[in-house]
Amino acid sequence: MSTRVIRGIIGFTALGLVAATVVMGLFVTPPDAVQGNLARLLYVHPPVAWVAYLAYGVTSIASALYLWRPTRSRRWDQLAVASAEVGVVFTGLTLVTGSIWGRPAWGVWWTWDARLTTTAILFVLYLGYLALRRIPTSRETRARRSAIAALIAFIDVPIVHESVVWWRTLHQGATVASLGTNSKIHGIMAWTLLLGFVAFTFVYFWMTMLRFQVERLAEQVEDEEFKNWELERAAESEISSGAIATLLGDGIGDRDDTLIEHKVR
Amino acid sequence: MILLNGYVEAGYGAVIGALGAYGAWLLVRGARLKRALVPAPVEQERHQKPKD
Amino acid sequence: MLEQAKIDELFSGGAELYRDARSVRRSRRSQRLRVWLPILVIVAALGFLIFKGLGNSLVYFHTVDEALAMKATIGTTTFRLEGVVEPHTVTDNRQGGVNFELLGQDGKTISIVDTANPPELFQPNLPVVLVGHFSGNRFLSDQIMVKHSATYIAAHPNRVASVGGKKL
Repeated sequence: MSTRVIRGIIGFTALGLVAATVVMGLFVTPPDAVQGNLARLLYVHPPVAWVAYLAYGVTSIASALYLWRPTRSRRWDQLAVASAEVGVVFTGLTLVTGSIWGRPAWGVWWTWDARLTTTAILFVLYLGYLALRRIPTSRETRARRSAIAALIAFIDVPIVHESVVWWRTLHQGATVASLGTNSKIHGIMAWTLLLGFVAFTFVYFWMTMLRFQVERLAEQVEDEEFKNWELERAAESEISSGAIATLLGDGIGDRDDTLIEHKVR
Repeated sequence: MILLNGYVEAGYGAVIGALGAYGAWLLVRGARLKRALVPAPVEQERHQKPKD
Repeated sequence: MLEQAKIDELFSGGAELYRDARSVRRSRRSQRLRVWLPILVIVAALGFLIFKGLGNSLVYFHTVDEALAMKATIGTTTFRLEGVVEPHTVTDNRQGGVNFELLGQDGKTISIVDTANPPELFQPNLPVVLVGHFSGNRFLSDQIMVKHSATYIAAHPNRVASVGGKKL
């Protein structure tokens, strides 16, 4: 089976599972005794947050594999950025859904408690990771530099997760601390929560595979463009005489040194 | 069924809308890049001549 | 030797190329800005968040008992106060808020005068975090945040097979 087919299967599974989560979450599950219908946000907010953790975990592993010489490969760098970008989308959604939940449940859209603050830091850290990757340099330098940044940023993930334990927060603690010993949540609500976790995990895999493919294609296009540019330049220099080349060498020479650096890699 | 309170719908809507939009954007980006990779034979020939 | 006309032609072409190079350089400057500006913004945002985090998060609220113990030193400084809304004490006041007793862990209470509209979920027996300050023996609050628990129980448990789960 080709990657394309596998990706398609994962994509449609994700779609089906998300649809099932929505139906279960909005229509089938009962309202909560205290929170009423608001509790229905439980089936999307924690799963979306979990995917963000998962995404950054994958980015970290891929970054470590890139940094370690025996396993160094362009693919790890491409996987790292793919997963990080998906992670940023999910972290953003965690903040948005949390805020939407917070307003009616707590009475505020936002408060500076430890869980919320560390999550906001997480979001900004990985935005920083993506911005760092946009600094023009050779692919090797970029990959090495961003892999180190990814590993540093990941330190915040366990801090976010444990923040509700370590500090006093407005945010509630974990509902499902460990599978099995789960007395905090009612039967069908627990199953729907589990369904949400599985559904959004599938969405993550689909998106990351697709984003990974996009990254690979983008690099191929970049390589093509460089090849064409090189050919054009060769043709150009044949037309120009030596005198002109000397006169204008400076201007033309540094026309696009980022591309030249790519060549050197 | 009349739904809930607006917040729940907004939360579900934000998640589905954002993920849908991001997914669609990735698909479009992928398709565009693939199209860019289709070789343009005439251009290539013209460029390759001076190299030989 | 090149003819003069040929040289002129080459030079005018060269000037064009030179202009090209300059515009490329200009666009590179804006490109550099496009790269570094977000990074600058992000670094600033991180600094702000960490500052806010250190200022607020580490001791997000004081409990009723702590607040009573520190009352003399706290004075009328604004802080966050946490406790449970004591049942049968909630009454509407004229300022559009509610008066109630806030219960601490040792059974001590603080009388609350709240001037803000309480959130939807506000109800007796739930833990809340209030923002405000002491005024005499009372705590004047201008914001109530409901600190709901991580427990979820169906509103009509009889309809669904019951699973362990304690009511608040």
